[in-house]
Amino acid sequence: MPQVYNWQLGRKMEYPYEEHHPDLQFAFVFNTNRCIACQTCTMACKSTWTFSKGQELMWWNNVETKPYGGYPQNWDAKILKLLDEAHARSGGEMKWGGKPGERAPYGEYRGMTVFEAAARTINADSQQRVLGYLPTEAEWTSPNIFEDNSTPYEGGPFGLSKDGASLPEHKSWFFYLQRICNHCTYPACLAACPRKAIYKRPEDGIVLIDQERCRGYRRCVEACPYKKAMYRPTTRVSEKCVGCYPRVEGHEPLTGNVPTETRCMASCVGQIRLQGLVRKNKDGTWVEDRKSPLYYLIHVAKVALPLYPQFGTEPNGYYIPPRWVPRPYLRQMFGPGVDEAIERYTIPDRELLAVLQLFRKDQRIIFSYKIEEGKKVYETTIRGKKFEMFNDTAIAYGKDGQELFRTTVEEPFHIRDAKHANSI
Amino acid sequence: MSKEEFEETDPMEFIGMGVPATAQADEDMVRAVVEEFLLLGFDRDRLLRLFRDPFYAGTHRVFVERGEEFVTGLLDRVLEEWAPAEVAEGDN
Repeated sequence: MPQVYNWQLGRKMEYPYEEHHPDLQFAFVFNTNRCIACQTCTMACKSTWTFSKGQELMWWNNVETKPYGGYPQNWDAKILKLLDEAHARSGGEMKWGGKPGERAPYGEYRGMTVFEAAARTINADSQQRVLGYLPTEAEWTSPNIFEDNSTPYEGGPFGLSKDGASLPEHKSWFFYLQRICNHCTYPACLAACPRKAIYKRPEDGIVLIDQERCRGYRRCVEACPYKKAMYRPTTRVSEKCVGCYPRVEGHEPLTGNVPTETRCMASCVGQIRLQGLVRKNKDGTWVEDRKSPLYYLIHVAKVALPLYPQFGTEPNGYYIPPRWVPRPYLRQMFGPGVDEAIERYTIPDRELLAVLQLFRKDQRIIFSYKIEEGKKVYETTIRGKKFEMFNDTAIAYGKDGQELFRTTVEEPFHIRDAKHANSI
Repeated sequence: MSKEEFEETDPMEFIGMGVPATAQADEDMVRAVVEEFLLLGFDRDRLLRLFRDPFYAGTHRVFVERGEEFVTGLLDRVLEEWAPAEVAEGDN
């Protein structure tokens, strides 16, 4: 099997195809600390792409409540269990080691990926190239199961349990995990397809299923560890998130036909999402683009981390981890960079504070940013570390360098007139 | 939220996974709650109510299990750290 370089794992790994990388890659950062699970993103996607017959159970974008919720139900616990069993059979361990470096920012993953586990533990005759499973129909039916609270109904004005949660664990915390297709660098769906019906676009790295070539074998549904390829019974082929490619290409008249963020990103009420197109080197690593907000958040500040990097698909979705959640859980979900990411996010430096203001101020894709310095407005010491806040201005630029908007760290405070308290 | 009693034979029933949570986890959670609501303008009394009131199951659980002293101690520490915030008001 060919060897490809996966920078998130800090090493080469086995993948069924030779590596070829797009010039630009669709990527995004979600700030889990800010999500309120309003599901506006979910409905924006649903009403755009999956409102037809046969797509009833299909939610390309979903927001699930962790640790109990999941769409399809228990998707991550199931694939982790499969991986764990594969390691037990082959005597390995899903662990990280080594020192972080330029080409290995999170150190080195020393366990097996879903590709390597399949090659080593699954009979070659089975034609299964990726470790995975096919969710049952029932598992697809409850996209927001256990949302917010896992307590049983016990009556009362709000149906709340008198004793809080009924399990001994997780009484205090939960968080929302926003999920779309990660448009992976090494897609498991693409690797698994026996028809080569799945392809990664060279212009933006968006992964698509060719609806003409697909014959609905559902190998992609089985293989995608994030379970973002879905089968449509009415057409008998599989479908997946298309990255709103017409918008990304710049065919949205509303924004003047410039590259525009996806519907789920643009509709985000909590301003937690930032999407972009990042430049890639020939070897798959990111071009050092110091002016790109995504490059800054992921490679410089390192506050945004990939979801389950150990699966090995090199997902292009990144998450700022929730700062209140127990670290062992987060390390399993986002890898070893969690502690550093939370430390930097909770006591942000000057640049990070300004870049975080860029989230959701405009639908047009931000290609670069600049910061104009403002005066210091606040300083204190948090957990023994100095924190300074400057009212800097963050300026966002589009594809051709045109200014999209400017925003300040301190936002104006508006108090609604009592006369119009409930109007909009 | 489920509106029925648990049924162990139901394949869609809730499945819990235990994850080790140390005392540090309580501290992280309390700190996050206090900081977020403090920045929304809550004063000390109002913040403490989030822990005393059983309606807020998560924060109240910490209050019961770790005691009032733990909560007020951390609360006052965070309030002290963020105290100079008042100086910055009116800058815009």
